[in-house]
Amino acid sequence: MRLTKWVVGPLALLSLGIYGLYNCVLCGDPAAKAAAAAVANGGRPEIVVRIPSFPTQSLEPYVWAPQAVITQGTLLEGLFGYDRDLNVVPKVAESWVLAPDKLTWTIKLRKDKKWSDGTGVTAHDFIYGWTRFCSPGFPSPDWASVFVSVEHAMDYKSGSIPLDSVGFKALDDYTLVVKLIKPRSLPSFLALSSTLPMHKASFEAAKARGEADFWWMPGSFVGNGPYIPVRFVRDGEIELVRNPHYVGERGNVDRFVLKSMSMSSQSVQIQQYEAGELDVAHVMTLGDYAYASKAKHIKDQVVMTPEMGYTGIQMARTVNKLMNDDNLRRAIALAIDKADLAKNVMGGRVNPTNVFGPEQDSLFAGLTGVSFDREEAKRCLAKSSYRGEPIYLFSPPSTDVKGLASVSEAIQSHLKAIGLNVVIENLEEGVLNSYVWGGGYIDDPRYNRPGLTLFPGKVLWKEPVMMLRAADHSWDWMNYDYEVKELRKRITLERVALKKEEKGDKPRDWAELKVLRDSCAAWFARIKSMETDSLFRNKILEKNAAPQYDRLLSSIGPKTARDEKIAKWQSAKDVLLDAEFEFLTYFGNQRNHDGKVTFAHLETATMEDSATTPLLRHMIQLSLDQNWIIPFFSEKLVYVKRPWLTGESMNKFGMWNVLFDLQYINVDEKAYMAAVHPESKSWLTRLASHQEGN
Amino acid sequence: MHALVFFSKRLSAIVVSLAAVVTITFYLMHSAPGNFLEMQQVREAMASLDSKGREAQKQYEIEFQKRYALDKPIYVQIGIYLKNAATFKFGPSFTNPNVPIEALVREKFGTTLQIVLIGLILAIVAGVPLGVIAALRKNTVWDYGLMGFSMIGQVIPSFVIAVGLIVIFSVMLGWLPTSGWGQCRHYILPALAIGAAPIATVARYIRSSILETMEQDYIRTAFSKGIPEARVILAHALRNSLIPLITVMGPQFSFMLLGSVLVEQVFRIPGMGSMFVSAAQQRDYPMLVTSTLIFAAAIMLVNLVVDVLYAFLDPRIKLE
Repeated sequence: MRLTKWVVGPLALLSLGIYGLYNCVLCGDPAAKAAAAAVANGGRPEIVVRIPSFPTQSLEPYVWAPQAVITQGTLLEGLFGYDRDLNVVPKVAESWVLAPDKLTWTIKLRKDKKWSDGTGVTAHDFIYGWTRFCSPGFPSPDWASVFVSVEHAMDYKSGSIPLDSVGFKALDDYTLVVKLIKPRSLPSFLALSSTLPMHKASFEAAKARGEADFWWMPGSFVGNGPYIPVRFVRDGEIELVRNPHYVGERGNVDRFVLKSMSMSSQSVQIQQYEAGELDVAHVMTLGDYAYASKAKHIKDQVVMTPEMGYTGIQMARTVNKLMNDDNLRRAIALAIDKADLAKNVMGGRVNPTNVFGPEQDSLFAGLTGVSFDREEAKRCLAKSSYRGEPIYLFSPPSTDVKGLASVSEAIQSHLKAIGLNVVIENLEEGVLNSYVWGGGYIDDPRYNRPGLTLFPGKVLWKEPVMMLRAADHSWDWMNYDYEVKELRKRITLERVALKKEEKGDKPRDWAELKVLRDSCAAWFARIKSMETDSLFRNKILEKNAAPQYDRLLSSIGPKTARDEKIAKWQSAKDVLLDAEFEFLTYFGNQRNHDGKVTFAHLETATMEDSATTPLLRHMIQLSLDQNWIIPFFSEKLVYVKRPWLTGESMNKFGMWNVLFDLQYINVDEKAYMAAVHPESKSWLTRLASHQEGN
Repeated sequence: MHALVFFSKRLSAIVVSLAAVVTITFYLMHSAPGNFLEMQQVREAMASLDSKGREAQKQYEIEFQKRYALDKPIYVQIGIYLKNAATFKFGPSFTNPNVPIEALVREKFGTTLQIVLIGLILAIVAGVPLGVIAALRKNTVWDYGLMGFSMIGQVIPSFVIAVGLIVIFSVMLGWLPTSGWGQCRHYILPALAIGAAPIATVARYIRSSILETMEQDYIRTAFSKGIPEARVILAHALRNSLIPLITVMGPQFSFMLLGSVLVEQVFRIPGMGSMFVSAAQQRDYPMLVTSTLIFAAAIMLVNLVVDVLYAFLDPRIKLE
């Protein structure tokens, strides 16, 4: 008995301790604290909205990382931004003029916009930020910005020219000029985080303190967006409060608490929402979706909004002849029962589609994709050259959360039903991506197997090429032909090998290369005489590497060092190989040619131009006709939100599908107070009488 | 003197092993297909580039490779990495080029260590009494109940326990927060989730160890001298049964350190674990190899501490 005392005693003490600890720490409840703190707010408790966000490591706007969704529009405001329906709208810009050359944009700024320290936002703030983005050595992602198309911006970045030659300038405090090297849809790009302005004084001050990398920390940060950060924990919580000097549309939320979490099966957002710790929760997994759409207490709070994109299969990037058969690809497209996938596999969370996005989208109206028809699929297959070879379906691991693993199983059964021998091969995400994106050119027999890969196609921002949904894939089908892939593989391997070739210091090395140079010149001369579309002709003739070979060869003198000669020879061969790919693929099939020409026009089109949409539709239809990429559903972004929360804007672009542009979020005060601060009844009564008085 | 030789031997072994870990990680990373630039999101954005953009992209790739020394042969990369790691400098990661990794590690490793240590203390504080009860009530309902319970704790993965705890204590009872970090109440559920399996292991070890000790002659002698039961158990039996416990605590620590990777994700704890997972998914080489290095170093150091404690507790064992 005494023994029990010795063992049970400490256990009881321990439990008491835990209970005591729990009770004493309960006093630290943030909700209680917020309510207490907000009494100062004229008796009206502070309106706090807690939302999930991605783990965030800094608030630097010029990196292509999850923080872009907070910086862009919420902490900093660009010349352009998005309205709630994701249309590009002017923010700091007041008016803009595009010169007849379609390259020079003159933008007038509003004069009433302010930084959070009360000073006015001027054109120089934009130039200061853009200069920082483009400065040599600053690790900014050029590719996620318009600066690759701004005159001399990349030359400045490479350190070869001074700043004053770059094609952006402030004419005065409120006028900016941007000069492009080819027509682009500039406002679309000026809405992205890469073109946000920067507050020079606060950045310079942080730099002087040796904190240049942390200029964005609360306390130092000066922004021109509707909210400013007051607390930042790396990969933890971020708190934003109203920027007192902000001019523009904004909801009534006083404070946002952004809780970082992994947007995967490991997050327990629904439970956090149920426990009252989040006011919005993303429904990530099919299991969560099934629960949220049935659970009585939250099913009315489920919101669904279609994504800008689709999920489908594409012919894998592996180099194999089998998939070149038009009838085989059409048979595959016909065999997939999209309604079955949407309803039975994805539990109604997606919309079946035959095009590259939601079918109700006006961009796709009247386009014809392939719809499910098993009998026709069998007839098509019979006409093909397929003789029972295994076709691999490269899929995510079976633990994947979005249900794509089960989609693979369903597709396998659909394809088996018409007599295809489909083998599923589960691959870890990193490996799978090389089959989806980069595979095919690696010297490994596994990359030569015929196959299909699951593929989500997304739009990253609103701009003609992006609107093709899944950029690379919806236009790159011109490069899916076996011959093209085989050629690209050869050239890629040759280019890799080139790095080890120590040639160039002997005349015979250059003579050896001259054979390629001459055929390059001859082929491009032929293209010049044949090509009727002037825009495309100019584009492809830029690829003629013969003049560059001549230039490099003539730059070699008797005093040129051996290493330099080798570098020049390698460089010449590199551009010649690139050119070889271009001229050899030019003479492919007519559809490929049509696609390339259309694409060249889309590259220089702007969203504002009425001719752009027909071009886009033509290109999409061309892609649909090839069946290199077969769309089957368009996802819905699903989340739950409190009934008192309105105006939220979901980022439907490719990445980081979380709430953004927080300025539009508004709260029904009466409902909020009743739900969150029932103790503030007296305040509610006053509010009611005030409203009646009005 | 012995101890000094022992320490220098073990520490140099740790340094060599860490270098080996880094080398193996480098080779494994590079042999896995796909790299950071090929990762979907980056590719998606790059793909929209026109012909002029492709040149910029090429330039970007060249700069990128230069910045991270990816253009050098792998053994040179390993050499550079080890040289910098010796002074605790790991450079920036791929995903966030503005933040050096050592700053992240400094911030995050403490958090992970906190959870693991709380879990460890919990494992001892709860596991030892449970083991003692089970041993002294051998083959009774107490014993079967506790051991059955500990078996459950051992076989359910920590992240499943974590979700279970959240549903019970946060959603249904509303006692504790589902996630977050910084206040005492945030520590309870993660510690329970991560400590559940070690509690079970400790309880089972203590049980069998006490059963074995109770058979010893000196216990019988102690009883025959009329020493109270409680004193026999605490001063003689339990004390001698603790030695095997120390040997399990080393592996348990490693186990919890690895378990923290998942538990951190569930409870939104800004620790090393979540960093490790995203680094692996995105092929963020510098981040991935550094996380591996830190985890490996922690495990090796704990093993060293365990060996030292072992010698300290059992005079028959010498440090050699």
